[in-house]
Amino acid sequence: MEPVRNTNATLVDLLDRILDKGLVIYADVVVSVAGVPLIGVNLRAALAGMETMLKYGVMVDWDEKSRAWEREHRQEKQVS
Amino acid sequence: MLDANKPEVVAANEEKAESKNEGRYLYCIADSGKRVDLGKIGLDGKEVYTIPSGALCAVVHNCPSEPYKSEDNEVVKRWVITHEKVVEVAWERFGAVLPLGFDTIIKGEEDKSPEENIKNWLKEEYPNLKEKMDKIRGKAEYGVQIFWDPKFIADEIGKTNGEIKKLNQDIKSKPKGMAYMLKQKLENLLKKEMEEKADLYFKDFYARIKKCVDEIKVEKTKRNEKKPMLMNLSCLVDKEKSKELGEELEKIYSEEGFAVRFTGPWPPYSFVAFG
Amino acid sequence: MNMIDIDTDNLKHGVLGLVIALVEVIRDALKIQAFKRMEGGSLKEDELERLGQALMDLDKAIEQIKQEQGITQAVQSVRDGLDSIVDDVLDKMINPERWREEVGQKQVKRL
Repeated sequence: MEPVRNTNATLVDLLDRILDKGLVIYADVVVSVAGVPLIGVNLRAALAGMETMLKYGVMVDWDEKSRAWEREHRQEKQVS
Repeated sequence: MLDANKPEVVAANEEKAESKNEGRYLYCIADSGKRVDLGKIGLDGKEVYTIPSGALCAVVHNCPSEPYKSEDNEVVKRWVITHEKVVEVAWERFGAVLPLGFDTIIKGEEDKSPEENIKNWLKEEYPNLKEKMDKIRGKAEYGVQIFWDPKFIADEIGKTNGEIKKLNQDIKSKPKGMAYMLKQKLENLLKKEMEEKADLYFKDFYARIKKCVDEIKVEKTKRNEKKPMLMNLSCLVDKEKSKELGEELEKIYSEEGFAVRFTGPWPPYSFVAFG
Repeated sequence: MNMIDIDTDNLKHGVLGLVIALVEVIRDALKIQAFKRMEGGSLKEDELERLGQALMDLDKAIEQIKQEQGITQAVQSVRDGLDSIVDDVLDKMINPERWREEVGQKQVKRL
C-alpha cells in the first residue's frame, strides 16, 4: 500500500499537523496569536465531513468493497 | 525642499522600511550551518533564506511582526500549502528539518533585531535542537487511520453470539412494548460486544504497526458516524522501512470490515513538539 | 474550541431545537433507568409491556415535533455539539498530559 501524497486528498491531514503541531518556541520574542480568531478554523470546518472524504476518493474503495461483500452474500443466501 | 540625503529623512525612510520587516516568519530549523537563499518561495512570494548558528539554521522570511490572518479560506489554504512546500524544500536541500507550525513569527525588540533574537534562541536551545535533529534524521512521518464498518462487525457478532441470536428471535415474537424493551437490551449488549471487539482490534493493529515503525503517536479519532475511525496514528518511520509499513497496512485493509488511510511522507511535525 | 451550532436565523427555531435536544437527553436517561429496572428483575411482563409502549410513544411524539417544526437538523447539531464537548472533557480527564500541553501552549502564545 502506497502512502497518499496529493495535496487535495491530504489537506485535512496537513492542517492537523501544521495548525496544531510542530516545534514550539518558548520565548518572549514569539509574536502572540492570542486574541486573534483561530486561524484556519473555518477552513478546517469547511473540510470536515464525509462528503469531502468521498470527494477525494478515500471511501470510494471501501464502498466498493462493501457492495462487493453484499453481492457475494446475497448470492450465498439465494443458494441456501 | 526635502533633501533625500538628509540624515533625518534617511532615518525616517529606514524606519518605515523596518516596520514592514521587523518580524521573521519561521518555517523550520534545518540541519545545516550555511547562510543560503532559497528563493521567493515563501508566503505571498517572500524571499526565504537561512539564519545559521553553529551547525543548524533557521529557515525564515521577513514580515511585519504580526500574525498572518485572513477570513478567506482560499488565502489560508494557499498560505498553509506554501508553508509546507518551503519546509519540504528545506528538507530536500538540508537533509533533516524540525518543522514549525503555521504562523510562528519572531519579533525584534528595541535593542535587539529579530535576527539576534533567533540566533540567541538557537544558541540557547542548541543541545535540545540537535538531539531532536538526531532523532528524526533519515525518517519521515506517516499518518495511519483505520476505519471500521460497525454494520459488518455487528453482523459478525450477531452470527456468533448466542444471547444476541435469542434476543433477535424474541423481538420478532413478543408484543410491541416488550419488544421495544428487548431491543434496548439488544442494543446495549451489542454495544458492549462491539466496544470489546474494537478494543481487541485496536490492540492487534497497534502491535502490528508498532513493529514496522520507530515511534507512534496516538492521535484523537475524528467523529464520523457512518464509518467510524478506530485509530488515528502518526508514525515516525525510517524512509527505507516505509514499504514494510505499507505492506502491513495492506494486510489490514484486506480484512473484512476495515479500511485504511495511509498518508505521507510528512516532515516530522508530531515528533518535535515538546521537551 | 467547541461551538454548539444553533440555528439562529429563526430564534424560535433555535430555542426549540435546544429544548428538544434536551428532551431527547432526558428521554435517553429515562430509557437507561427503565432498562436497569428490567435487568434488575423487579418488573413483571405486563409492566414491561406498558413501559415499553410508553417509551415508544415518547419516541414517536418527539419525532413528530421534530418533523412538524422542521428542527431535526437543529436538534442533531445541538447534540453533536454537546457530544463534542463531553468527549473533549473526557479526553482531558483521561489524558491530563494533553490538557497540560494545551494550557502550556496557550501560555506561550500569551507571552
